[in-house]
Amino acid sequence: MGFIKAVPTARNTFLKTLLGSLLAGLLGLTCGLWGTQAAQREPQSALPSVQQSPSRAEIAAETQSLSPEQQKLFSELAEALRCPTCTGLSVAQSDTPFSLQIRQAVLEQVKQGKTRTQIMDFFTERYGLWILREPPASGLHLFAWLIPLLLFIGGPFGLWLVFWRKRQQLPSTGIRATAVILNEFNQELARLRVLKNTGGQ
Amino acid sequence: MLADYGFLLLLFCCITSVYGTLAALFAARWRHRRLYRSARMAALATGGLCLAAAILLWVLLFQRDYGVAYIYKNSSNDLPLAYTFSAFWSSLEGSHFLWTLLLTVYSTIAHLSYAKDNEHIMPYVSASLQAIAAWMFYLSISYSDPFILQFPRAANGLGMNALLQNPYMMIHPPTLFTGYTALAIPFAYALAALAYGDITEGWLRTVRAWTLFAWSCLTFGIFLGGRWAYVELGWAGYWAWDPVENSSFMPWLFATGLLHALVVQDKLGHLKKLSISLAILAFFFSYFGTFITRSGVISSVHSFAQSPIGPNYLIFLAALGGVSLLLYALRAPAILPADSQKMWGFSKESALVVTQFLIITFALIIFIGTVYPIVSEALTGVRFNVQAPYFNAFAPYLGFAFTLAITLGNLLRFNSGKMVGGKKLLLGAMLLATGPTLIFACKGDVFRSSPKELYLQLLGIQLCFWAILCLSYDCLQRLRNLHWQIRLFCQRNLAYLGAFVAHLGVMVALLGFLGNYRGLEKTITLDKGESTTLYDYQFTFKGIALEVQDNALLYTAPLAVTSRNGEVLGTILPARAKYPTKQELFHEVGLLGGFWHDIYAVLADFNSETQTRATLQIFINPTVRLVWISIYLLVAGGLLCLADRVRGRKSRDVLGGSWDL
Repeated sequence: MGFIKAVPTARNTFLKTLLGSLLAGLLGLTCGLWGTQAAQREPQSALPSVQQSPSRAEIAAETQSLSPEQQKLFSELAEALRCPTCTGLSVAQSDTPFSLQIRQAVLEQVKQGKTRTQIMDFFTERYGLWILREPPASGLHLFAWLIPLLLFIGGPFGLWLVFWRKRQQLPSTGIRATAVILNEFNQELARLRVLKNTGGQ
Repeated sequence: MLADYGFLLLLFCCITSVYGTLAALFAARWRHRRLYRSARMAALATGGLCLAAAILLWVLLFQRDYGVAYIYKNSSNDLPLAYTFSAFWSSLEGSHFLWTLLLTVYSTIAHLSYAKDNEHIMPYVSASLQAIAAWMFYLSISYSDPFILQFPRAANGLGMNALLQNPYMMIHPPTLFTGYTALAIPFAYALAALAYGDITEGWLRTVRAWTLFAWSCLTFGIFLGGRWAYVELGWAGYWAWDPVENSSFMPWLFATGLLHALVVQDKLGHLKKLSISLAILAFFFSYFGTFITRSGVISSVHSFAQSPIGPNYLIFLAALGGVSLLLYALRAPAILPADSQKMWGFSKESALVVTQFLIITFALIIFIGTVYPIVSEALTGVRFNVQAPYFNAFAPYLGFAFTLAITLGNLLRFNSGKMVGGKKLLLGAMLLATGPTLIFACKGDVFRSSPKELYLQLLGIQLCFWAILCLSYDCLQRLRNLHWQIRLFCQRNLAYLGAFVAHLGVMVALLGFLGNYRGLEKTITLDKGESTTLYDYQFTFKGIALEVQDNALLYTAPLAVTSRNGEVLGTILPARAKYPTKQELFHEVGLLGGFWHDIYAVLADFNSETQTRATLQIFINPTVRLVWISIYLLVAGGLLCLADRVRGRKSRDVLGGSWDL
């Protein structure tokens, strides 16, 4: 940016803060307004056909019959899928009929020997990426993961830039020093002369 | 009738607040002392009127006047007295009113107790506080009116949500809201500093005191919320990274950052602009949380019913953000540090700067995770979830970084590269910490975790004990420098002691959090008389029993707990509760808390005809008690710091001022 120079004057700070805040504010307002309207439009997931939901105990009993790796895979998957009708819980933590059905489906697929990727794809195809508990690390959502990472790396670098960089020290001794001191004196003299000339009025 | 008086009082409050804001703004512009006194009187009047309106609402609640819609919706004839008191804030309008009441009360106290040498910036402070109050009162009389009448008058109310009929409901909202609203005063002082042009004498002392008060209450409120969720909800956890929980955590983080920036400002006159920014951000995010809760933008377990008040909070947030940013952009360059040639080396102030960076990073990560659903919907059309796994991916690293920062920061000194004890202390403490770590690991049975987690667990525990040892060494060193005169040490160093206790609390909390990764769980269906074992305990199911408690019918499943060697430890009572006004069954958790772990049982399902068969979920939660202990340590630390009457009294940059008129 040409008109915002690197020198930290008051004007530049003002302009930079203004620009940054305008952008942030616009983004925030857009998202907020969108969100307040979108609150009505919470997506309805495709409900499975009505079937007898298994009980928590039945699923627990069935998992006992799996091998240890299969049990681990089952619990990992159950904790990676969200309960569609709860707020903030995974399928493993919730006892709603929907979650129990999903757990049953995961259990069957683990028994069939499918891999983690295959089972996750199965669910994301049917329910969309909405069924996940965290943003996937692909596409635009990579930013959700990249920004914290950049903060961790860039932060200390930023701190170094602001606080710990050795600044150019004016030499107080040596050949160059004389020129610097002479310069200062001449400037001071000029300023005093101006004051003396205008002091009378 | 009383309800009409209540509404009128709120209307008057709105009018006096608007007058107070305008009077204070003009008093600031013209430096007119008597106009400021008038604005101050308006603030005091607002306080009195609001308190009167609140008392009216309580009177109406205790009279069970169902002609008032709010009381009809939130209480009933069988509601116990204590919950009738807390029905004041149990739903949207009352909760907004509680917020407004607390804001007004603290604003009144701020107008009565400010440093005499700060009187000339009080017009700015007063204008900020009263502007916020004016908006809250406007919402109180328009969208969020608790005094709306309804006709015809019903004979009985709808009753309070069963989840809220709990002693925690008496303490959690008031303490939490105290934390949020008390942050308004540092915010007002920050805006005043920007408007006036610099930090004045007495600014530091006042802001420090209010921030400590707000921080202590906020800490208590947040942890109480976690404890409530733990004993009430039945998923054996205390923190779910729920959007509303996150939005209470962000102001807490910024308030912590503010406290640490004030330390540097006190000692060296630096980081003034950072203090101002953090004060503004802390208050801004406290409103951000209430915006999320009340507008339904992001769904959360804390959400109130959908109400049209949401966009108003957004407008307020936008105005707040806009004014603060404009003021900061225009006026911050005038606020200069005491020594612009300062060299920041390896010293305590650098460690504090690193701490600020970690705090701000943590807050930013939480912010990204909390607003990501809205942003993703705006950008891609699909509303994504960001739940616990996202935050848990970053939290351990931050915990590790905080441990390092706390230890090194406390051992370093200001303006000096020397560390108390030096490398010898760091290495020695690391070696010495293996002792407590092994004891902790054995008694807490850490070795039952799986191998990869075991290594990380031991590392975490080792680091926590290392930090505790280093902090204790520093404390003992200071005591030794004072020749072991404990009374003198306590008299002169309350602020240091408070910080020591609070940092100790953080370490204890981290030890407690590590236990989350070691929990055990078992789901089993039992017949009457059958037993099951989990982790050295045997649980015998005694059959379903019926119990009547207050206004609820409880189906309890007594579980007799015996240890491995046959010793009877007690009976826990997981239950499901049926309230007359609600359809679903609520959980009552069976809890047997111990120091090293809690036994936590939930009645998931039962056969209601035969009452001899039940599905139980049993958890073993390690080191949860350490988290509760850390609450008291943190709050005690905050209050100890608050009790220090000396710290912050000698500001490094004294800037006086006076009135013109």
